[in-house]
Amino acid sequence: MKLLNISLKSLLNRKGTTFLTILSIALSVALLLGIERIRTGAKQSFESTVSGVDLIAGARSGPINLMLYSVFRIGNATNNVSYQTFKDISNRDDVSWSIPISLGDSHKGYKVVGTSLDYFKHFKFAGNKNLKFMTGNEFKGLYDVVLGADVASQLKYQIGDKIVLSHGSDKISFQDHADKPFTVVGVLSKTGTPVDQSLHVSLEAIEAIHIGWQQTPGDTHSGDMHNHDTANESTLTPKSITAFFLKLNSRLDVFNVKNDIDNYNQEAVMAVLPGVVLRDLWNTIGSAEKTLLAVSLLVFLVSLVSMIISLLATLNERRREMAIFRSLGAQKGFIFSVLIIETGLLTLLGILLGLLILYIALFSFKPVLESQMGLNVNLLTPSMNDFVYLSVIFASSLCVGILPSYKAYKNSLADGLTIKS
Amino acid sequence: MTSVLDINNLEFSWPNSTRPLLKVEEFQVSQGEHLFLQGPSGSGKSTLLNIIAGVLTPQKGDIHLFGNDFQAYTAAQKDKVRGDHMGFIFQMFNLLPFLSIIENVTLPCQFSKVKKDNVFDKGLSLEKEACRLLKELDLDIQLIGDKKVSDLSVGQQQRVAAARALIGSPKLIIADEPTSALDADVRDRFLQLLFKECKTSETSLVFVSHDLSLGRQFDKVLSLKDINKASPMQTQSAEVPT
Ligand SMILES: Nc1ncnc2c1ncn2[C@@H]1O[C@H](COP(=O)(O)OP(=O)(O)OP(=O)(O)O)[C@@H](O)[C@H]1O
Ligand SMILES: [Mg+2]
Repeated sequence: MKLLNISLKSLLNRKGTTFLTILSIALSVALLLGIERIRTGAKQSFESTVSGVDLIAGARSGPINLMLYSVFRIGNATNNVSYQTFKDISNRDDVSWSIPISLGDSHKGYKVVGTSLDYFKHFKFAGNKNLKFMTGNEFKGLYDVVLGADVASQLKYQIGDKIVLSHGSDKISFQDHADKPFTVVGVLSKTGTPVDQSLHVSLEAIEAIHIGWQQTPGDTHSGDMHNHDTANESTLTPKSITAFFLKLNSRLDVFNVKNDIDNYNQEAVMAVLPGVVLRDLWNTIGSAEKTLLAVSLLVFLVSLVSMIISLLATLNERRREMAIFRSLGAQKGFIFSVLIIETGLLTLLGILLGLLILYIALFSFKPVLESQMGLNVNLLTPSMNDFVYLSVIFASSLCVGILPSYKAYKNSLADGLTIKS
Repeated sequence: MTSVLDINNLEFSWPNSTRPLLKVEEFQVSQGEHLFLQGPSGSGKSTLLNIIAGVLTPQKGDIHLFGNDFQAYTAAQKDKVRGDHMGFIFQMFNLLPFLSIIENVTLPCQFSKVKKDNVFDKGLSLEKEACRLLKELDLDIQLIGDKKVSDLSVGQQQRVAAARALIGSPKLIIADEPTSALDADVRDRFLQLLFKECKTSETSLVFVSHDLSLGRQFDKVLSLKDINKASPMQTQSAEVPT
C-alpha cells in the first residue's frame, strides 16, 4: 500500500470535512482572484477609454488637461482650434481618419459633443470595440441627437423625443437653446466610458444653435435668425472645434506627426498620445485601484488564515490516526509525508475548484460586467499576479502542513498507546 | 530462557507531579512467557506499558529490551524497535476505519521490513498470512469478506487488532485491556486463540487488566501493587491536611 493511497483513503473517509476544507480554500481563491480581475479590469478599461486613436490634438495646454476635456469631458478647453487647422492636419497623407470634437453645450448636466459621422465609424473603446447602436442610428438631420447609454437610461429618453440643449455645462443653464429642439434618433450601447454620458450632434448643429447667440438677447433681429430655416440656410461650416482625434496610416509616424502638430505655426496646438496620458492620469487619480489592491491583500490574508484554520482543524482530527501509525512503528518521515501530502492535496484541489468557481462566475457575469460596468478586459486570461498569489497560497499551505505534522508527531508520541478519546 | 524484557530500578513520575508514580526494582519477561499484570484503575498499568514501548521515558532505571539497552536509543531507534519487534492490542480506537480488514492487519509490515521478511520467510504473502491469522482467530475472511473495519462488531474488531499485533512474529506483544468490551465466553475464546498464536511463534505476551479472574490462563500473574514500591495514590490523598 502506497503512502499516497493511505492519504487518499483517509481523506475519503472524512469526505465531509475534506470537502468543506477544499470549499473554503476554493472560495478564498475565487474571491481573491475575482477581486484581482476587477482591479486589473478597472485599470485596463480606464486605459482603453479611447483606443484605436493614435493622437489627440487640441489647443496648446497641458496634456492631462487636453485629455480630461476631450475624452472625459471634464473641465473646459482653454482655447479652441480653428476648423482650418483641423482640416489641414486631417488632410495630411499620413492621417488615416480624424474625428472632430466640439464641446461647450450640455443637456441636464450631460455634455453635448459636436462631431462628425466618423465618430460612430472609428471611435473605439476597450481594446477594439466599436460603438454600437442599442436603438436607432446616427444623426442625419441638423437637429438630430444620438444619446449615450446612461443619458438615455437616466433621463428615460426614447427615439423621437424632443430635447433642448443648453449653453455651458451647468445643470441649470441660463441660456437654453429652447427654440431649437433636437430629436433623439439613436441611443448607443453601454461602453463603460464617458461616451455613455454624452449627447452627440453634428458639428453643424453646434454652429446652428449658436447662430445669433452672441447677439444680445432681446434683439429683435436675432429672433428671426433663430428659426430652423434660417439655420439650415446659413453657412454652417464650423469656425472652430475643441479637439480632434487622429488615426495614422502607420503607428510608426506617431512621433513625427505629434512633432509636426506641436510645431504647427499657424496656431498654438499640441498633440498627445492617449495611452501614455491615460496611464499618467490613472497613476495620479488611481486611488480606487490602490483601495482595491488593499482589499485584495486583506482578502488574501484572510484567505490564508481561514485556510490555515481549516487545515489545522482537519489535522487535529488526525491525531488518533497518527497515534495508531506511531504505535505500529511509523517513523517521523511517514507522519510528515502523510500530513504534507494531505495538505498539499487539499490546497491543490481547493485552488482548482476555486479557479473553476472563478471562471464560472466570470463567464456568467461577463455580460453584466461589460454592459453595466464597462469592465471587459481580458477577464479570462490569468495574470502573472494570479500565479504569484496561488503559489504563495500553495507554499504557505505546505508550511501550515509542516507545523501540525510536527505537533502530530510529538502528540502521537505522548498520546502514544493510551489515546483516551 | 532468555529474557525479552528486563527492567531494573525504574522510577517514573509525571512532569507535573512531585511524587513518583512508579518505582519498580525488578520486572522481567522471558521469551515465550505469558504474563498477566493486574492493578486497579489509575495504578499506572498503562503508564508502565508506555515505558516499555518507549513512548514514555522514565527518570531513572535500566530497560533492556531484546538484550539491548533501550534507554540509550534515540526516539527514531525506539520507533524502529517498536515497529520491528513489538505488537500492540488496545481496548479501543486501534484500527484505521478507512482501511479494509486485510489492509489493517498488514499495516505493521508497511512500516517494518523485519516483520515483512518474517512473513515472507514462512513462504506466505502478506495477504495470505493475514487471512491465516484471522482464520486462526475465528474470523474467516472468505465468509465475511474484506470489508471496512468500521463495519465489524467490536469483538470482530478486537480479533483484527490481535491479528495485526501477531503478524510478522513480533518478539513481544503488549495488550492493554483488550478484552474489556467482550462478554465472558467470547473473551475466553479470544484469549485461547491469542495464546495459541503466541505459542507457535514463541512470542512473549504482557497482558494488562484490572480483572483478576483472567489471570488463571496465564503462565505468570503479577500485581502492580507488589512490584511497585512507590507509595500508592490513596495514601497520598489521605495526607490532605485537616
Ligand atoms: N498524560 C498524563 N499526564 C499526567 N498524569 C497522567 C497522564 N496519564 C496518566 N496520568 C496519571 O497516571 C496515573 C496512572 O495512569 P494509568 O493510565 O497508567 O492508569 P491505569 O493503571 O492504566 O488505569 P486504567 O486501569 O484505568 O487504565 C493516574 O493517576 C493518572 O492520573
Ligand atoms: Mg490503562
